[in-house]
Order: sequence, then structure tokens, then C-alpha cells
Amino acid sequence: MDPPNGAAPPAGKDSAKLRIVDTDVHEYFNGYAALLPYLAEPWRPLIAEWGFNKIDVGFPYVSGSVKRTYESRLEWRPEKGELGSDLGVMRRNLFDEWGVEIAIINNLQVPVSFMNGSYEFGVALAAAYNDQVIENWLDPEPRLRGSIIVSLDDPAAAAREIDRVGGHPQMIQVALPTVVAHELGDPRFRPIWEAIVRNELVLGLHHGYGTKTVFGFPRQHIEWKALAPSHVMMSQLSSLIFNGVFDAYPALRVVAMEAGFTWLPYFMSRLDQQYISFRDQVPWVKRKPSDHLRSNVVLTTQPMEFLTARQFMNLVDDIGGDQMLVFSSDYPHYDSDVLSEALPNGIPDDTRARVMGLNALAAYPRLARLASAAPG
Amino acid sequence: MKFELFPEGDLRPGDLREVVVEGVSIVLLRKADGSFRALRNRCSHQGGKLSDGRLEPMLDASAPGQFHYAPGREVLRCPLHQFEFDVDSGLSPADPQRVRVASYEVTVEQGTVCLRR
Repeated sequence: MDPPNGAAPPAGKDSAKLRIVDTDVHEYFNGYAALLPYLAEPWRPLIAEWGFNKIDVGFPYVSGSVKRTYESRLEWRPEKGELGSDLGVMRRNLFDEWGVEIAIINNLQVPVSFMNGSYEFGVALAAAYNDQVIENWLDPEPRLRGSIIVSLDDPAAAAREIDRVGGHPQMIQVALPTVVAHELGDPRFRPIWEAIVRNELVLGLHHGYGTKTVFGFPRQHIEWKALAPSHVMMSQLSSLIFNGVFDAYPALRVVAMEAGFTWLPYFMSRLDQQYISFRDQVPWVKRKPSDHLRSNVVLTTQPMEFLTARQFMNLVDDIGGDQMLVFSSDYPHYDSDVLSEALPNGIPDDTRARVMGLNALAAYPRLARLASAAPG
Repeated sequence: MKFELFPEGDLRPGDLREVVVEGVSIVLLRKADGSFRALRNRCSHQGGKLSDGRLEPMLDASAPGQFHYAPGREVLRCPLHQFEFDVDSGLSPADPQRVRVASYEVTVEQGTVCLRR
């Protein structure tokens, strides 16, 4: 097939034959002042006059290598503004050079669900972001899909916001950070899950700088980086399963982003084992946890660990197939995976095709139309 | 082959008893409704003796927090790791495809409990 944008075929590993959906791309706006035109009163003066420009989540790490995580390759940096803030650069990198068919963006600058107060302001910030991303990213670029930001601390407002902007045809998911202050299986969040299902969206979970380990923020950044995303993802998926969320909402799909996936065999086995012994504690759960995971959860591939084809396929066998994995680059971050190099050499072509694009086309309800259509 | 085991009145509802038939340990039990069931007396997990376990009503729920007992359903719970087996089928309610013990036909004939295997 020709690349959807008519540009040169993307390089490497027969990727010209693949349909590529990038499920974890980060776009940036240039500082909170960029939200002002979209922010409701009485909140504007907080930014315009009082200089509010960041939700402080307490991220404590300071080192050269931590600072360098905010850099990236030169060709991805815009001439001005923040990394990832230039739609033209993103178009060139993802669509023209890599041949991505669909890129799903989610933003990390407005982590309102990490706030510890002023929740009404958080709700307003989220709405301002959602309107901003529609106007500046989704409307100008039909190959992008967007993520709705909501505040977990006000589930009713979150549901209203999902209904308000969920009608935009390019909105595809509700993105939440993997918080530690709330268990997502708590019944008070059900209005959010109902709104997601009602609008045919998915729930995307991605760590933020406020995601913590069982130690809180551990002493070293490397400990946080290695463990916080996966540990909290496991905990939140366990919470959703054992509190009956997938039984109540079988159509709810979760996309677990940037938390790794090599832990899945352990996680499935561990949860199933406990369920066989203690099903009577949670009799509202009608299926094995691993079955819920296989039918309701997909995981993004980045950051890929060093895996041989044999290791990768053994893992696929252990989790019951390759349908749970969806390609992601994490563009434009320093640790993004290179599209043509992300998956190990030597895996079967059909597995590569599913992971690089077909699984995502099947997993996101709003991509279902594309799944059966000719690419582009 | 039919094996005549013991008088019907020897087991009250809720009781368990181990019997050995042709060298195979089998647990006989009597449900709350008075009917009898028989399962292989060895948990398929790590060999726990089910006759040392508990016969319990099967817990069910229609929603989180809404516990109720499933009418007519009972489980035999292994004393080792609390695996539960539906006494009507020998299947684990949690993982019926993978976790199960053999079940046997039990009848009461002229006041005697009989087992077929």
C-alpha cells in the first residue's frame, strides 16, 4: 500500500506494508498562557495576573540525566516553543517520515487529577485544555486523535465534560494519570466509566510526575522510573477488576500506556491464583482476572525492553496471544521507540502487523470504521 | 460399577465423609437439601484432602457489595489454599476450564447410599 500521506515509504522492516497506529504521542502547548483564550472565568487571572503556570505534583528528582529527559533528538525540536508543540514538526516526523496512519495524542501538562485542592480550578483547566487541543491540533490534522482530560476529584463534572467534548469525531479516549490517591475501582468513579462507554471512548491510563511507588517517591529517580509506572498500573488494573468495573461495563476498554508489558504473565497468573482461592470475597467478579485483562485491556509497547524474538513470542504465548499489545512511540520524548526498530527482528509478520496497527484499530471503538476501510 | 456405601441416615446435611473405593479416596457429602454428592477427595491443586475442608453455600453477587447465596449451590473448600469446588460438578467456579476434581454419580437405593464409577 502507499503511505496514507503520499510521502516516501517509511523505512525499515517492511513497514511500508503495515498499517501503523501510534497510541502514545505527546503534544504540548506553550505554557499556561496558551490556555487563557479557552479558560472560563473567574480563573483567568490566576494565570494572567498571578502567574500560575504549573500543577505542582512534588516530583523531587534533580540531576543531569533527569534534565536530559526533557531533551530529544534535534530533528524533533521545533524552532521555537516547547518540544512537541509544533504541529508541523509532528506531521513531518510521524506522518511523512514514519508513515503513521493514526497518531493518538495525550497531554501531560495538565495533570488535574494530581491536585490536592482547588478542584473547581482543575475542572476548568481540563476543559480549557480540551477546547485548546480540538482547535489547535485535532481540527487542523485529521490523522490525529485526541484525549479528553478530566478531574477524578469531581466525577460528575468529569462525566459532563466527557459528554461535552466527546462528540468531537477525533476524540478517542479519556486520559487519566495513574494516581495513587484514588483507587479506580471505587464506585464513585462509575459516572466516568459510564460516560466513556456512552461516548464510545476508551480509558487511557498513563503515569505522570505525580505517580508514586509504595515508598512514595523513592530515593533515586532510577527507582521511580523503573517501577512506579508499572506498579501503579498493576494496582489500578487490579482495582478495576476486583471491584467489578469490567463486569458492570463489559464495553469499557482500557489502554495501559508506557507502563511496560513484560510483567503481564506474572500479573495474570498472580491475580488468577488469588481469584481461585478467594472468589467468595468478590463474587460480583464473574470471570478470571486474566480473561478480563485479555478482553478489556491493551498495553502500549514503549518503552520496549531488550527482547529477542523468542523472548517476545514466548511472552505472547504466556499471555494468550498478541492481541493485547499496541504500538506506541512516546514521541517526542527522549526515550521514544523508533518505529522501525521497536519490535524484535524475526517475529512473525502477522504478529508485527497486529501490534503495529491492527490491534489498535480493533481496540478503540472509534477506530472501528477504519479497521475495515482502506488505509488513508 | 455400583458400590453400596452406608445407610442414608449416617450423614446429616452439611456432613462430609471419606470413603475409599477400589483404593481411590472419595469424599461423600450431603447438601442442605438432603441430596448426596461425591467428589474425588484430592484437590487438583496440591493434593489437599477435601474431606478435611468445609462445605459451604456458594457466594454470589449481582453487584459489588451485594452478597447473596446462590440458591441450591454449595462448594467444597480445600483446607490447604481455599480452592472451592462446585459440589454438583466438581468444577472450580473461578476457573472451571482448568481447576476441577472428578465427580461421581450417587444414588440412594432402599435407604443405602450408592456410588457409581
